[in-house]
Amino acid sequence: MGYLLRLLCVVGVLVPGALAAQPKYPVSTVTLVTHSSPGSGSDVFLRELIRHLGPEMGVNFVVDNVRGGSGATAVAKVARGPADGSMFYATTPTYIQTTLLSKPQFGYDSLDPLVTVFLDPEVVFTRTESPFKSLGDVVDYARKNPGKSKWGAANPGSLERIALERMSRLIGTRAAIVTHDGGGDLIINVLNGTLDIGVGEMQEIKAQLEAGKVRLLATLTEQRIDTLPDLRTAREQGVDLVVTKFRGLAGPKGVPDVVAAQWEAAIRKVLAKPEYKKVYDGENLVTALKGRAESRVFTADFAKEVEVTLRELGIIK
Amino acid sequence: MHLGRDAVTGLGVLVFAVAYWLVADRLQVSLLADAVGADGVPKVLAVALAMLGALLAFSGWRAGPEPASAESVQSGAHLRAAGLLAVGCAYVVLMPIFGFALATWILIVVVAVYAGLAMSRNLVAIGAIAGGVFWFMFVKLLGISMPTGMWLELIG
Amino acid sequence: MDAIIIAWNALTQGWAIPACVFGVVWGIFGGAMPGISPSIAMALLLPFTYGMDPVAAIVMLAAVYVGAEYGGSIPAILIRTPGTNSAAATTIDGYEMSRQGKAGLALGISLACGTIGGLFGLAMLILMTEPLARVALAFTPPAYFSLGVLGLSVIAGLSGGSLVKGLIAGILGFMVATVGTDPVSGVPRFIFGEADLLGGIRPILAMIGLFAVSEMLVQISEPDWVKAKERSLRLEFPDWTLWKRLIPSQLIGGTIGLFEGLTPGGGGTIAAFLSYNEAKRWSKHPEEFGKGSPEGVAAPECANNVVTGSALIPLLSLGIPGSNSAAILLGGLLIHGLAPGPMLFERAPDVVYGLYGGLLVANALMFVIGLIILPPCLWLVNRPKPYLIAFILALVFAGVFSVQQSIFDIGLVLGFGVAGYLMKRLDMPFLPMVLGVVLGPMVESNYRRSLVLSDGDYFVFLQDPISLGLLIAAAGLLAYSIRRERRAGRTEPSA
Repeated sequence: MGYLLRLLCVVGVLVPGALAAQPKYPVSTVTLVTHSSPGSGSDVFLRELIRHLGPEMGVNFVVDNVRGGSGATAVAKVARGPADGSMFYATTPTYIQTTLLSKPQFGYDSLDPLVTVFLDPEVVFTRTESPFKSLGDVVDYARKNPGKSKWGAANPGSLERIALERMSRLIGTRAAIVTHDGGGDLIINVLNGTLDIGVGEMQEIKAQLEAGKVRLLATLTEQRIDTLPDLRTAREQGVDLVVTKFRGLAGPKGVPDVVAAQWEAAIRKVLAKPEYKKVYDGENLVTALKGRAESRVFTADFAKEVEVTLRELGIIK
Repeated sequence: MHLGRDAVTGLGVLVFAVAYWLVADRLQVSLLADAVGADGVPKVLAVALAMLGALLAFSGWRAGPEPASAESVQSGAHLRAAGLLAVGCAYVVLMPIFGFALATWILIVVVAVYAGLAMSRNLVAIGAIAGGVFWFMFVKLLGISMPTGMWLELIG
Repeated sequence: MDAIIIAWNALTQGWAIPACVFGVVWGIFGGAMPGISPSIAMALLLPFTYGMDPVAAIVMLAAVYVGAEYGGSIPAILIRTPGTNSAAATTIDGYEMSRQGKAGLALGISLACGTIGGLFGLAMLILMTEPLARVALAFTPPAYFSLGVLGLSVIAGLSGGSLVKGLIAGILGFMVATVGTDPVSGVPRFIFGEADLLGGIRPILAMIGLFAVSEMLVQISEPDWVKAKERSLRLEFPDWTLWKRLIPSQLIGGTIGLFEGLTPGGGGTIAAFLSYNEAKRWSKHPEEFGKGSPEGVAAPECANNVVTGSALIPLLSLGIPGSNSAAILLGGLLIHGLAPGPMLFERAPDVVYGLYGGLLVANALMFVIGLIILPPCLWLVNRPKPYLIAFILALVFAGVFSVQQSIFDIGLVLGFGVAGYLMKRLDMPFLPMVLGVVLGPMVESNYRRSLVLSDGDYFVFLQDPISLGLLIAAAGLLAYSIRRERRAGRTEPSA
């Protein structure tokens, strides 16, 4: 019966695809590989994207969740995959960090960036009952009470974790930085007051925010988020901390430039569609469309920066 | 010198604990580490395991070797178990080459024969049907991409 | 009253009921496949829910969860292969009953107790969400540490005679759990350059190896099959005398399942083992446990199905997924633009009440579908033994491989099979090892997390009231088990 369902889905995507008049994409089925499990970050990103991108490109999309090895397995699959534009990997900073931390056979550099689509804003939050009203309060408290502050991040090797470590060095104090087994644990410890603050993606705390259980203190982006104009950046509050969490695609080496250009054009069109805009605005995703050339530079720079930070923190040698 | 089974087990555990400690001791030290450290808990475990191993070895040695009882297993039994293990290892190596359905077919026939069934046309047929059913369950129903093997590459 | 009307409307309009039927069947099937956990069974179906209306989508996912938590116990009882983590405790007495020709009764108990447990969990979800959500929030890292310690203290009761060997097995299991990325600093540990080990060794692999593969190795090494007793092919339900005996173990399973389901990271596995142990302690026939006790099936089966209700409490009331399965449900809600959490009850009451109604239907359906599919399953396992061994091995390999498409995982399962075989030959109990694998990460990461929070002060474990209570309970349990072992040793010196 699952087969039938799948058939229905395929038909559902194919029919509108066939109607769209577009320069023909070289293959009819494109597999998008993600390391994340169904329902979480990258998976949701891909599935919402293909819902709009399928008709636009006249292509049948399949999302393949290849888990394991902190993303290394998925990267390896795509790196060895066909370079005709039929297989891509959904990138996040994870694939760069895994490469640097565990040096798998196929790392981020065995893939060729295709496009960068979104930036996922990271925010600092606390519970509503907490005395901290701004990031400044948190900083003051941490400076006056070294070793007493308790900050939380979701996963041990995550960007958020590294950001908090950098924050404690930036403001020159010692804080307990607690890592968790994922976002859920972190939110519980913020809500029950075990932690002073937590750092995470907007998507993870949306429900708490709507219910008035958490307060946002700062966004760790370059500029304020369009959908939350009142939330000040960390920089504005005197902490020079920016965390870039990107979402994009990368393919095996050797994908023709024509294909890359088709992708960029199609995604540009889709991003402008009001019904898609409503979806990604709702998740507070910030559009950051970069074509192939730009994405290559962006990825290389990003990797260099992460490597330098990891080295400074003594995580890698 | 004849040692009891427990004594040998205890010594084996002791050796394992030391080896585990040595690997734990060489774990990378990160500046992000807490006071306990990545090697903290493993080392505690290693020490506890070593002590328990020593305890088991000591009590086993004091009790002396147990008399060869009727229920002790002959070495032939271990060999037969090792044979099944070898079949399993072969499956691990060959499955990506043969593909999921064919490998399952072969596995079922080989294991059934190894477990004492006579080779027959029936058995081969049942294995083939089972391979098909398994393929249908996992690839079609559950929608998981199992290895197709090298056949497609050879043909096309 | 309004709620019932909303639930009725939500379920009867659209495709909610067919989706529920499909979900339960899918769940039982997925759960019964070795290695495919409830969350994976749900994840496999998730993409198909994107096009459905929200109520049908959520009801289908929840129905998969209910079905899968039950489905795992079918192979656990019949072929000593826990289909899911939380069915591991059922394997102990369930398979033993099976070997004694009482497979039909074991399946009947597990189906009946599972259904009762599921309904109890649902009742708690509907009636007690608010107060129970507060319990979930009260658990701090020290409390989780102590909860893990309480779970580990069960080892003493599962050691089957030799506490030293039990502890050795437990520590070996804990050592298995230390493989992978360090929970605090993020450095890789004991992975020897294998990227496949970065994420750690999933407990289900250890369980399938230790339970199922080792059993195949043992059976093949004994060529003269003990002629199996004439097995009953009929599904049987307990008679009234047996029911009365099972009630205390179900109460234990229900209570423990309720609270374990609330605590993220706890989940059905710990609930099942703890309730197995408690059922043994309070039983009038503790000596039967491990030798085919019906109570040993009832308690864990009730517990792991209660979790299907109580694990949803933190998700619906706080928006926090407490388990992998709840996280998939969260994904299902998110894709429909619904953020679970306190506001969901106001914003989408049809989804919430539809979900309650759907869970009720799912539990009832689980019972009916169980009645239909169990007799063929019983027939299947009564085929000649060589066939059975061949099919079990093929099923185990396929199931294990399918989860991550990893040949490496099959290798791991074989490795654990060998370990289980050796342990059996050395009279070393392997249940403590399973517990070590399951609880190790929870104990270690929360121990270290607590010490980071307290700046190295060990009193943190005694200052938190929940933590203190759990530690006292663990100490009590340990003392009780040791005393019982001493007494048993005195009365039968030969053992």
